[in-house]
Amino acid sequence: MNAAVRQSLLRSALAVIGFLAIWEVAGRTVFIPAVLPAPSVILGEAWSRAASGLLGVDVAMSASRIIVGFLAGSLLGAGLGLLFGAVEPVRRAFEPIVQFFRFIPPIAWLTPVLIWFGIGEMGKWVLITYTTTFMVLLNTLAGFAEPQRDRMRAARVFGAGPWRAFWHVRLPATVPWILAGMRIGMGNSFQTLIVAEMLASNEGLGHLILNSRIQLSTERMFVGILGIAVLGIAADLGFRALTRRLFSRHRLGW
Amino acid sequence: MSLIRFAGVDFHYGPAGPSASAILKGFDLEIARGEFYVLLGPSGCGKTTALNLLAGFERPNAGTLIMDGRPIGAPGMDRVVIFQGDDSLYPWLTAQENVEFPLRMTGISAGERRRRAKLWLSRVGLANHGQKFPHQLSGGMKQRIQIARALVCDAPVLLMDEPFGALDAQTRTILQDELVAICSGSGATVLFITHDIAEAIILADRIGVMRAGPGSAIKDEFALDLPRPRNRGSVEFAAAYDRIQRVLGEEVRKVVSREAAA
Ligand SMILES: Nc1ncnc2c1ncn2[C@@H]1O[C@H](COP(=O)(O)OP(=O)(O)O)[C@@H](O)[C@H]1O
Ligand SMILES: [Mg+2]
Repeated sequence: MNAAVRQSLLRSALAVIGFLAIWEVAGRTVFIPAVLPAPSVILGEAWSRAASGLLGVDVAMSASRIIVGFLAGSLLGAGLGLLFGAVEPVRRAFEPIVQFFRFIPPIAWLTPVLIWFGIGEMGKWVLITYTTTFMVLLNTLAGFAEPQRDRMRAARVFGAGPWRAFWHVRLPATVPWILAGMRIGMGNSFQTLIVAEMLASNEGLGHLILNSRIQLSTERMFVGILGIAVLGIAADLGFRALTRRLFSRHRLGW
Repeated sequence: MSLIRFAGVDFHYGPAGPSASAILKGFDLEIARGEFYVLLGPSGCGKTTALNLLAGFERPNAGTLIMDGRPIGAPGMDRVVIFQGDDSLYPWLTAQENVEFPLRMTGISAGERRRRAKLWLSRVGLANHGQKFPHQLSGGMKQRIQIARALVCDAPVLLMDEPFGALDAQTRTILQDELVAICSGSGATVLFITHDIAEAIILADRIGVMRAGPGSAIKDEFALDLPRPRNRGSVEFAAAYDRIQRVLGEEVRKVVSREAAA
């Protein structure tokens, strides 16, 4: 680790500690716990909830919904994106439909999804899949919009037909775009997930937040809110670490 | 008998019509087998366009374009291109894999591919850089990858579009000398594009100077029978430079004054 990196890490750590310290003092002096609980109070609540196993259930439910929806959406988005990119007439035919649906936010589908799939897991999977699919699809199409003229011409010179030029040039050139779409899609999935869990679920971090309000337990509400942040950061770090390993040939920008 | 022949070639981009302005008009060019032909011309006159026609990336609107007695068809391994800039390298492949790429497309076995790519990497001075990715290499090294990737094909014709145009003067000089060493005695026929007169004299058997566009064609040709490697400081070099400069300078002035007027 070089000096510059160490210094910037140190600065970030100091900022976090300072922020928590101010919050702690504010929570213990200015505000009553029902309005803004101090970090130590929230941590205590998280600890006891984790010990009883209740927090683990909510985290596991939220995480499993994200994972299923994210994987399904990534596969669907990348598959459609590659199909549209490979076959121009297909892209032309379906682009208007894509453009139409992209302006309908996932949450707008919550009610019909409840009617179609009920309150069970399938509904959440569908909503998160929808969220991820569009981010990955649109990003993949943006990747295909890069001309790659000389790379494609070189492939033709070296004897590659359309199929092999796609496989050996177009596809690898689009990999960083697909992965960037997945990363954005994962971020957006958390928004969809939390709203869906708040409005139509009996477990998960979103449900924990809403249910804590009903039970007037602000510190538990914060356990849910901060739990989302921790889950999101862990998911993003994991995704970045994994893709850096799996796609080490590509310049991913993270 | 010439290997390559352009006869009365017309070309314009986009659909035909009264608004379509010809890039090339009545373009004639003959290149003999084994000849190193350099095309000089003011920028924008249509040098790359002529090369793209020969490569098969574009089709002429009129006239004939023949190689080895047959009309030019789709791009292929019989006339390999070294592109301007480095946008034709595959950034997700190492230098070694980039050089192997044409052999992979041809279906040559992995071992043979590796052996031949290694050989060419070392011939262009990249023996120790095979495992690096293009973005880890300098501009000059990237052009060496392109040269190795083209020469590994053993193509009878090489088409080079200002391959050293973006390099600094020192690197360019070194690569020119290396190209002379590699090409002399290889038997390959080369069409080489540049706007640098000194580069043309170092490399060429024959030089064609193109007119300023639109509707460009070759204005004048110069045969150079100086022995190689050529000395940039010699009297003959200076005399050739002077002769060519007079012809090319006139065309460049046309472009410059037109740009000033616009
Ligand atoms: N794809 C294209 N579409 C339309 N015009 C083009 C295209 N490529 C080049 N041109 C035009 O054709 C002319 C010749 O271009 P080019 O062959 O690249 O010149 P050179 O290589 O001599 O600099 C230029 O005026 C250029 O603007
Ligand atoms: Mg050019």
